[in-house]
Amino acid sequence: MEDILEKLVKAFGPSSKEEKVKGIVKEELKKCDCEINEDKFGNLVVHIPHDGPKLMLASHLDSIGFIVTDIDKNGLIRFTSIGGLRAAFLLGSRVLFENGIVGTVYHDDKDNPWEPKELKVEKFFIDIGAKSKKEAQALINIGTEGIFYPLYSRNGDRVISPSLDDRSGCAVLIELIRNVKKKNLKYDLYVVFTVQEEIGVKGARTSTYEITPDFGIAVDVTSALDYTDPHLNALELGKGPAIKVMDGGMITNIELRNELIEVSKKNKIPYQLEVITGGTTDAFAMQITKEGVKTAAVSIPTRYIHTQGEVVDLNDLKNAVSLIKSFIEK
Amino acid sequence: MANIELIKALSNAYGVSGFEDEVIEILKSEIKGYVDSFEVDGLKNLIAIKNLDSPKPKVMLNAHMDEVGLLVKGFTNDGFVKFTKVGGIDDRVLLGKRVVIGKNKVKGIVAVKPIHLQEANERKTVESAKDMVIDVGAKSKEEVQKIVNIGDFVGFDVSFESLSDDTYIGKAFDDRLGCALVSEIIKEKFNFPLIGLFSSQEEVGLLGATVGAFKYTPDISITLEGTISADFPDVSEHEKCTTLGNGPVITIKDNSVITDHKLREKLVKIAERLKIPYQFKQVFVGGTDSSRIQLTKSGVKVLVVAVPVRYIHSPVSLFKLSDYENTKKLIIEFLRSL
Amino acid sequence: MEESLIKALSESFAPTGNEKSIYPIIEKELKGYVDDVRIHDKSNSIVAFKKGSGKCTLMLEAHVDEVFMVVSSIEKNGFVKINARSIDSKILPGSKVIIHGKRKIKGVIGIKPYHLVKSGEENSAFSFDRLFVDTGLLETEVKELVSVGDYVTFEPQFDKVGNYYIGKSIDNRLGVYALIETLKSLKNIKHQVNVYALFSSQEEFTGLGTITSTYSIFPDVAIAVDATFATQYRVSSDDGFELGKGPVIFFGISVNRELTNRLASIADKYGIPYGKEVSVLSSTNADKISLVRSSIPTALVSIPIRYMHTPVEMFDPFDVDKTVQLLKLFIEEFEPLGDQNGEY
Repeated sequence: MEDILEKLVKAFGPSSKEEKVKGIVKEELKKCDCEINEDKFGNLVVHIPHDGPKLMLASHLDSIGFIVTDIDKNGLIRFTSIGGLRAAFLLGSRVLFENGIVGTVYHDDKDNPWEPKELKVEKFFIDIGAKSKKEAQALINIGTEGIFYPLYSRNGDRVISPSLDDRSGCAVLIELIRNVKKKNLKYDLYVVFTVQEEIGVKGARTSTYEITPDFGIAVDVTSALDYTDPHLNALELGKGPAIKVMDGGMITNIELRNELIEVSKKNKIPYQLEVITGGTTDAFAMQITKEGVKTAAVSIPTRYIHTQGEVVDLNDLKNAVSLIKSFIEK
Repeated sequence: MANIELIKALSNAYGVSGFEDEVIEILKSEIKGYVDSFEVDGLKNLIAIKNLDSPKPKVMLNAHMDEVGLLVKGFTNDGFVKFTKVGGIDDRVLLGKRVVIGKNKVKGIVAVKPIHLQEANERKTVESAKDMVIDVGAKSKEEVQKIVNIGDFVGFDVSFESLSDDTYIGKAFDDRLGCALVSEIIKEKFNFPLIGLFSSQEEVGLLGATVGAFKYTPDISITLEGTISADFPDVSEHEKCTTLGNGPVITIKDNSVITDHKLREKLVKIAERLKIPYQFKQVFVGGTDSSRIQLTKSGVKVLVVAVPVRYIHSPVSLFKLSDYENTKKLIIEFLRSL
Repeated sequence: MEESLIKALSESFAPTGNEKSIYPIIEKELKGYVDDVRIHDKSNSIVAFKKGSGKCTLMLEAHVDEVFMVVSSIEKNGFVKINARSIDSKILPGSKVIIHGKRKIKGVIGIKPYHLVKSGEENSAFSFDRLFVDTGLLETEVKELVSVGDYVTFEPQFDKVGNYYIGKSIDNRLGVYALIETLKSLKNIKHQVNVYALFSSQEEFTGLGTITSTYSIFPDVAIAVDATFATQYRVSSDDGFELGKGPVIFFGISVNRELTNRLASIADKYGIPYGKEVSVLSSTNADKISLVRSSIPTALVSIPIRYMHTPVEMFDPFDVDKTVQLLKLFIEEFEPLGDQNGEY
């Protein structure tokens, strides 16, 4: 699992440019005996047919990112965000553009050059080391996309890296597909690696419409605020995957959620319950499509979401695999 | 040559979000005979259909019919009209402007306190629209209630005019220019199915487009807009967004959508090959119908191309005809390449 | 107005996402008056159907869920922390609530005694992270009975106060009541239009019930019934409607003006007083119903209430009765809307 995760987080894949990540997923699933297709919208859909109601699992391939809006007369790059970039966490960060160019983020506050007063993306720029506008234009265009430069490190069970949102979810689903006992499946299984989640859960909407599942489970990250004393919320790293009750966008289906809890208890898999007030996932889009889908979500507790240094505990990923596997098999 | 008469008629027509009827009538009579049929749905989207049985790709051309305006909310005891804003209007463009109210086009003005009577600090701020009223020249509440109804629309009273050969002013170029473009382009002959979605209620939440592509769902959709051009003083370099005269504006990303990369690259190649001037929208703000069309059913590939317009969402917007013509040319050539 | 029914509806618990417990009441009331009642499985909404003589379908809609709070964590000594959407934390200090754990547990939300409050702190509002519920139980007992994610609701106490009534969840049990009574009033009436009554889930959050059930039903037209603001202390007629002056018809942009005008004409014809509410969007399910599939012409009727989203929501039974009367007459006289299509 660690290796898959490392490959995934290092891949370039901001919203709308997920090709490289799709390539890795397809490569990892080469040996599985399942149908893998890309749908009309670009989502990667893995289908493991079996008798039973249709279950759709979803995690998103895309990460948040940067997009170039202007190149100024000094060759400095102006940008805006793809998805939820957090302004306070950009200063000093390293950015990697799709063509391999690397830059660093600073700000243009003329009155306070050391400590900017306004933390807004409009006041920031990226320096790629170009000496002039002309030189910069040879390297970068308006519309070029970038991501946090991938810096992966591991300390025991914990991983620090950008894009754990939601490459963790993708790693969990890949591992699940590789280990599932197809004969024992209770569902006609669709595993969807969605695109453009960070800019409006878009891939989830269109793929759910196409598949029309009976049930859905999204696998994404959730915010663990367990690094202060007392904790700011009830989610902790290492205490197991979180079974979502409610987030900023939706409430999960009670019956499905309770079933996940029962499965965890029965199989002695550690779990937590997630109640957060901000953020949402592909589950929001799945639940509300067409005549409705009974939807739940299994989340990986993650610290410092949407920064260059997100942190997860690998045991939570492994337990997420066990939980979902026990849920979908007899 | 661009059809100035059509642009003029569309610009002068009243079509505040939810009340697009006048615009629907003009468009219907304009494209009659060039399309196979049209429908007006429950939200007042006008959908024109052509060659539905032809082979793919199914292409949609989209522009919204509605404009920003006001809505009558109530009356004061002395016969003035209270209102609420429809769409994103800066309160500061309202004071002292001429308006018309409702189907009967009752004339009025947005009242403003004479400067002589304002305190020093009053001169520095503009009151909120909530506190403004419209004066229709009535003497009492009873009198105004006879001619104005709660729920009536209020539009800016402004006429289309030319400032020069190439420059025109008027209201609602966002997005009657798009409507004119779609009408002109849909008249051309193509080998694939073409759906014209003249959407309603874009300015109040992209509502028409949320349902407008459901019945006839395309493979590709091009939204034609009138977009922000802030290439004038008081705006910093990187906020100018687009420049008048520099040709059609291609959106890469806005607040609602990232347009299809491959289709956009193709569009740019065509512009370069045919030496049609073009520019990218450089402030990635705003939301367009394309984002809703994109998410219809199993998904649609979308593009957004716009004519740059100064002072949108105010009574006096301004555009250059050459930009309009280059936009039309670019889209027609793009469609021919499909 | 049937006081006992409104009381029963107000005092039931149907927080957003878990509305099932109120369904037996609705089913029982409608028995014998409708042709079918069933649960919309995917969203846990409930739908009733009464056949008409024609082909057109009209859907009445009222959301059945109430605003809610949720257990966000269990602290040392068993104090329970909560979180909420759409509830003003300022009304909570000193109130009684019910935690819906393994059983219903009564609790109070208390704050520091006044004697210990420092000067300067006095008028600052308590935010959710400073509030907690005291159940009087031991930590072990609380942990046994309550989990993170359990619902917390206001304590029910329906009552008459002067000319009006108060209780929790009047938003939108009045709407639920109006739908039930309208269906009952149609018992021996011949009507062309086929009537669906959708009691929808989760309006106070995502509108899941209305969006998905309406997708399934796809009626020709729809009328939503919800609550709106009444004039009250600190709410003037700029933002609210007087109690006792009848229902409020929404004249906004997100609803169908033709259908709305028809509703108003029926009210005018039969002398039913009503108010006119104007804004671009209604912020009710009417906006969402309008956008299902290829769109559904929708209108909105609201009943004014004071103190919305508190345990003491207040209403005038006159407004409720007039709403029922309006809906019944509208259904009786309903004819399909015109068609603006054309072929060239």
